[in-house]
Amino acid sequence: VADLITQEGLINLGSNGRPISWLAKSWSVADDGLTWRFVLKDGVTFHNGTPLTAAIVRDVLATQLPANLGSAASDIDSIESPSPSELVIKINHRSTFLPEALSVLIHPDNSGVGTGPFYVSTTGGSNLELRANDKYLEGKPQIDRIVIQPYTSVRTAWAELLRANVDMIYEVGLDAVELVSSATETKVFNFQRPYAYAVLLNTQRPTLKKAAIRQALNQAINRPQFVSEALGGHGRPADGPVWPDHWTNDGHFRQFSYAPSDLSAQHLSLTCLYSDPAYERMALFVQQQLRAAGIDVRLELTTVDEGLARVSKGDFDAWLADVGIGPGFLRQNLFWHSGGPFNWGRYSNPRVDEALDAIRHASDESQYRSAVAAFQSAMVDDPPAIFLAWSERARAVSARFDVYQEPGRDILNTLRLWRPANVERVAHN
Amino acid sequence: MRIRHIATRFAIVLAIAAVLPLIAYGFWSLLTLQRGTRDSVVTGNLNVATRAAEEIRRYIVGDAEILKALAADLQNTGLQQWQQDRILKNYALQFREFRELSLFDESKQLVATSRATSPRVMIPATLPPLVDGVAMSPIRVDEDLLPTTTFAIRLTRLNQPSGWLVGELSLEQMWRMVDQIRIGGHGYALVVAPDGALLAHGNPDKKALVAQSKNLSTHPLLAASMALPWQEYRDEDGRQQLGVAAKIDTLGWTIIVEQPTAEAYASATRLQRQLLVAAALALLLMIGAGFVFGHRFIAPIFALKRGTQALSEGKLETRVAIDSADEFGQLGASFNSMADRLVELQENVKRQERQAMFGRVVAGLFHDLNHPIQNIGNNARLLLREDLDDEGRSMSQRIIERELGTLKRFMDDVLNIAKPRPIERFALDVNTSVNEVVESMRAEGERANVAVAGRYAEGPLTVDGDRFALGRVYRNLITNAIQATPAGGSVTVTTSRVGNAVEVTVTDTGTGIPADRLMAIFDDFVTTKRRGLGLGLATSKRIVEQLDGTISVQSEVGRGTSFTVRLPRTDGRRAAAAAS
Repeated sequence: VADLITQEGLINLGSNGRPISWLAKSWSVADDGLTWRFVLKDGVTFHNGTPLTAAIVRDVLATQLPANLGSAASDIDSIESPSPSELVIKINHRSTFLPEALSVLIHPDNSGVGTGPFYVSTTGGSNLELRANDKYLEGKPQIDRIVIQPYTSVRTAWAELLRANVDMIYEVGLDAVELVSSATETKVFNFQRPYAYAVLLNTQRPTLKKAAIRQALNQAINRPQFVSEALGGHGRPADGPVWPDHWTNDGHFRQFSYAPSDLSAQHLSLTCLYSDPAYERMALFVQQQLRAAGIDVRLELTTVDEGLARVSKGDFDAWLADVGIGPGFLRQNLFWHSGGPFNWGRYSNPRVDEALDAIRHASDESQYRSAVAAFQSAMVDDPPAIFLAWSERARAVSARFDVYQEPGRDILNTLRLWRPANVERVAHN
Repeated sequence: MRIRHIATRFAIVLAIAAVLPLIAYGFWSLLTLQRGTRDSVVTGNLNVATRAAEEIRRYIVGDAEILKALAADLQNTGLQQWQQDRILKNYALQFREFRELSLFDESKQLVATSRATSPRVMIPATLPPLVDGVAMSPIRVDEDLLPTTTFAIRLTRLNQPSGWLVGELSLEQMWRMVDQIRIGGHGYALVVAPDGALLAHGNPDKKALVAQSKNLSTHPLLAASMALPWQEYRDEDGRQQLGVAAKIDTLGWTIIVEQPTAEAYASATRLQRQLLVAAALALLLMIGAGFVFGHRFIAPIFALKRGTQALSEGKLETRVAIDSADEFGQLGASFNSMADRLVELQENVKRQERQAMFGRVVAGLFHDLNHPIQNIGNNARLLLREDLDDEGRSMSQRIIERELGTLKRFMDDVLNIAKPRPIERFALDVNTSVNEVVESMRAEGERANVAVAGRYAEGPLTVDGDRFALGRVYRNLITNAIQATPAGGSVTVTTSRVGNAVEVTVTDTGTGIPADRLMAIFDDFVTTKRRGLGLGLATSKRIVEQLDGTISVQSEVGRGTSFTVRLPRTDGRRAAAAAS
């Protein structure tokens, strides 16, 4: 949460998957697609007063981009800073993943010192305190101080919000969205996240090796019912891996269908990990639906660290998580491409790899759209996970604040514009 | 206060007869409306609260029934532990109101739970029964400090205790139901536990109170003895509320439905306002119609009043035009007939007056002329006698001359009435001119045995006057006084100086003049004597007024009469001129 508020990247991806300006004022691409030239915004400084320069960005990207791009990092030839405000990235292959990767947050030496509207003032105990950045390029935020405080459960958090002990909660439990929405002292803001609730499958497990089995598992899930019963209506069925709002997604891609079959003859039994108690209802729903198809599912709650450790080691059958695979395809590449850094299920499918590579190197939008369609089709035929739903997050804010909301976007993006609800009245008085 | 106008009386009668009862009826209607509306609103809100209580009771009892059904499923023989676990999980998924469902064996060991991890609930020590076989714990706050409760059911197998099924109820799910209980725009429901703990609040502004574990044991509807299931009170925000309460006996919970009185009685208030406006309009309309019709009704009376007033001012030609066939029309016709008759009567009176006047003038002429003519005739005959001595002859000549003088004065008076002679103004001394007349009249007084005396103020009393005209005035007054005074009486003539005026007063000790005749004695042809034209005083008054003076009279019947002539006094220079 603190990173979202304190740091910024070069460019960002909009909800339709198109890049939008952030620290880069403008950019251009050479006709051959191999040279990207970025012009930085003027007058940007870090929280410690250091001016933002192309050299600093160059150094950060040189460090961060390889991890961010994964195998696509090989496309990068050089990163140069011909002037303090100009950055040039030369690549050896066309890459549509590059602009997606440039949303990496710019903070030199991993110091946490960024250019965002707030900076971390104190860290101690379980709380984190942020202060308004007076020198923020787009103006000092209206809120001077933010204290980030963890709670053991979302229920505890929203109860504290109702008691007016906190001003905002990061997430309202899906069960409580209506309850919290109905109180006038709080305002709830929903937004679609480019994250999919999915059960990652370990394709190295003998029982899950076959594409047909994994496809049958996907077909055993009634996604609208999942959204309705497990998410309380707050989400969208994930009928495929492609983000539904992506500009290429015209609704004609192949999709997972609900066609449950009796798999009891397969004697499948698997353990599904989940690392967030709030996912219990989702886990129970998946368990119920797969059991209905004759698959015995055991649920196991782990901590996030434990879950990640086991998954990264391959020590799992299935893992219920919300995976950030939207809105572009760079992260799809990281998750599903053979050898991808997040491809914990050791999934490998030549068609998928080929489609992702085609997306990565597409030279025009037509090629890009065709490659995306091929990717979705390949994923539907051989799914690496049980795709459940695109998640929707609800944040709740005390009515004491006027919250500026951009349609469909996370209200944290506009936190600097929030202000106490009576500021204007006071000013006029 | 006396009411002087019939229109005002008419309006007051109308107000008392029609408007006051209407206003009284209106107030009574408004009061009845208010009372009826309040009763109706209270009854309606009570019905809502009662229905809400029944729904919440059914909801809770329904949850208990779900638990019973689950217990029945679990008590099926032959179920494996994994099957029981699956049933619990399926129930928890299906019925969101249960946050947790856990099954314990007789030794209180966990057998299965809906949770993916270890259960939170425990077997309660003692629980009061809610419905058949299901017990419900008192409301408590959980780890998140939110109110919650637990259901428990004792399982049996072959009539032997075989364990416990325990479910934790999510009361937040009940909030949705309470949220839907609305009355009007701002009427909400509250659910309160027996100890006053607030379990749910339908008012979006008050949700926080539940999370704050608000205790409502001092709420007016809970603190009171509940003799009345409704009350009007001021809430913590200072708003006047109409609150009604309904009990859920099986749970001990109370459902309170609160609605701002402004909203609860809004329709009645609106209706009242409309009624008041309608009544005011009707009243104005009535007053307007009353004014128009009343005015039209009273108009003949006003016409008669004006006609009567005109008649009293002598305008006998006045007639009223009342064009109606009712009593007013008849009254108008009678008035006009009366006016016609008055005209006739006046003509008759005038004719009679003229005849009487003519008679009196003739009689007066006869009287005034007869005596001197007889005297002249008698003395003329005496003069013709041979035997009359010189003294007698001389006396007859004097008498004839005197009577001729009398006739001449009489003729002058008559002429002066018909054609007043111009007055000449010369400065003269009043004492002198009065004394001349007094001396000349003294002999006449002696003949009537009436003493005529003069008393004069000192010094000259100069006025601008006509010696002959004023002499006639004094003579008339003295003659009248002598004639009105019985033998032995006296006539006194005095002069005096009063401010810038000179007064000449002729006072007799005669019979006096009745008061009702005093005002007319200066008119022409009016006399108090049995004979004569009555021209003397009229002529005297005209002469005095021509000299810018006044003449007045004071009289008392039986004691005498006093005439006063008042003339403006002139200055000394003119007086000196007069003396020279």
